[in-house]
Amino acid sequence: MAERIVIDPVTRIEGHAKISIYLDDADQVSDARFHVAEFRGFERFCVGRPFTEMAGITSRICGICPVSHLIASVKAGDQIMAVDIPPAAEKLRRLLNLAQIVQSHALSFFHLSSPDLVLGFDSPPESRHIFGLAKINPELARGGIRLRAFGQKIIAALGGQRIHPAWTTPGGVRSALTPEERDQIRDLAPEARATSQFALHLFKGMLDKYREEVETFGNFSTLFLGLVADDGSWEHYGGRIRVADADGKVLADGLDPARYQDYIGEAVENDSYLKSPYYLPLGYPGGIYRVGPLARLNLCRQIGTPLADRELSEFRKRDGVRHSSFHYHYARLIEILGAVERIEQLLDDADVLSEQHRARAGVNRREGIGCSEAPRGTLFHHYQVDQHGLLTKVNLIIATGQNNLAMNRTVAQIARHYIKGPTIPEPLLNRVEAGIRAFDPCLSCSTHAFGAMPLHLRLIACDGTLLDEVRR
Amino acid sequence: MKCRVLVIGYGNELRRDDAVGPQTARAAAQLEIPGLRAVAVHQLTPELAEMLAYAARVVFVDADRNGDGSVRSCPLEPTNISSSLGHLSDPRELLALAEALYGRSLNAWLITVPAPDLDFGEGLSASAERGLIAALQQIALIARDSSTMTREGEQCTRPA
Repeated sequence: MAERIVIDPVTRIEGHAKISIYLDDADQVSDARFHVAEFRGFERFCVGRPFTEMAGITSRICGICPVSHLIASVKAGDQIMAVDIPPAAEKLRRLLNLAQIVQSHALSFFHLSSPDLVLGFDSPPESRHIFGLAKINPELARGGIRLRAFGQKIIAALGGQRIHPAWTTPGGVRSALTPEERDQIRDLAPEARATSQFALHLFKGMLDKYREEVETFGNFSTLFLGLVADDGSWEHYGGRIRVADADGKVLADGLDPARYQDYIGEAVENDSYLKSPYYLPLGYPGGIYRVGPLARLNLCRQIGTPLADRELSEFRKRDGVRHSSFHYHYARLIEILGAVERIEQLLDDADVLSEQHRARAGVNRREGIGCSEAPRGTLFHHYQVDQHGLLTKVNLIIATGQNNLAMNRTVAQIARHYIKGPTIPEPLLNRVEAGIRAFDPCLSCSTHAFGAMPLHLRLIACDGTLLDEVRR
Repeated sequence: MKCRVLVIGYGNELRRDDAVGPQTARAAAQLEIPGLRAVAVHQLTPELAEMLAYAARVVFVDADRNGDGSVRSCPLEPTNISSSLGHLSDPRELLALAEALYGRSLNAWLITVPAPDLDFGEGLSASAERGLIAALQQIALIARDSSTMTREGEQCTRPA
């Protein structure tokens, strides 16, 4: 009898989603779908607004990664104005984006995922959260909070506030750091670096314990897509797009982000507001690819900082590390370390204090495409404007959407491993959530959903009969 | 940074009266009460737990759309209700986090200010403006008595 399991909603992710697992007549998992059932519609209601407002508007998409939208938006604005921004502006934007990566990754690992990892996936859900973590490993919990605060302090210093800072603008940025702010951040960097190293040490020590999860949490071959620098190094702000297969073979390199429509298709399924982008030359759904920390580490030649490169080298020596989405956690921690090191390098650059940080111009092009690496992956903002700079078309391609196909496959893989009949086993419930959480999906960004509710999982027969149900 | 009284005002400053928390915090900072530190934030985040660890007592200020129209000041107890998202919806959760991470159990109050207008935009309604003044009086009272007051036995209060 064909059946369907529904997990609704998924907890400890940003936003609200539902998961359906389809069983065939033999009670074997045939497919899984990650549905996002809410809609906020930024691509529609922004039409008619001036492009100069888009940084401020789209940063409201999300309270976790507003900076990512600021960066991609103003890069699209730079193109519409047809300006090369001052070097200081680029360095300051880079500093902001690195701080965003630190604070968002810290939230993902320390607050959302480490309770699973430290307390165990099968520990009671009522204690599997930051408070439970604080009891078992207060040093890790405190370190995580301070690490996130480090990133947010930089964002607040640059943007005036931690959340939704309206500081970047087409053409550059509104202000530089003061020497006092730079020194305060510099003083905090060693602790941030030490915390990320501590977390990496802890995580690597846990890997043997989670062999089963490494094997089943999205452990398959896909393409990877992301920005790399001109020399192939890890990149988060500039550079060009590289696409590689699961074995590291580069399929396409040096792709212009502004020509994303040449190589990224956007499929839409009727059961989700989450788009399903795919690599166009391989078609849909064969062009499945992953973005984000794991993709960036699989694509780059090096990170370009000593401590993170040492960790990257060790990461690459582990068997199968390229394939399993469980290792998004590992990659995230290495990226935190690299981002902190790069922040320290930027603070030594006099340009971060420069007053030459903004180019001014009007509408000189009718189209602009901004691309950057958000913590969760590659982000595109595509705008078309009229002669007055009013938006006539907006298209946003968000990291979480680009991982949609991989998240579906991850759920199916976990379900195949744990479902042995027409009931919902407890380990499945915990691990499906954790498998999705490895991607750190931000549904607020990708569909502009809002809110989070307790877990609800249902097992439904093909005739609509409710066979099993679990609420959390 | 140690302080005797920490005031945390929170809310969305683009939703009219929801801004009364942050605006009260900024106004409290201007009162020049010795040992008082005030922060205005968009939402409560776990990072604030560390700030609590260095305070003797804390006053949260929030907008209240469902109240009876009066400013209320209630003592708070820590509560573990976390869903571990990036921000916390309840100040009691933040108190619990400070206790769990830093071993600090501190006297805390929540002052709620009437917020009849939560539409998009800036600027407080007359009701919220009046509430802001009353909230400042409550904060001054808590700060003034901070050396002698305890949480035990305290009741919700309404300004006259």
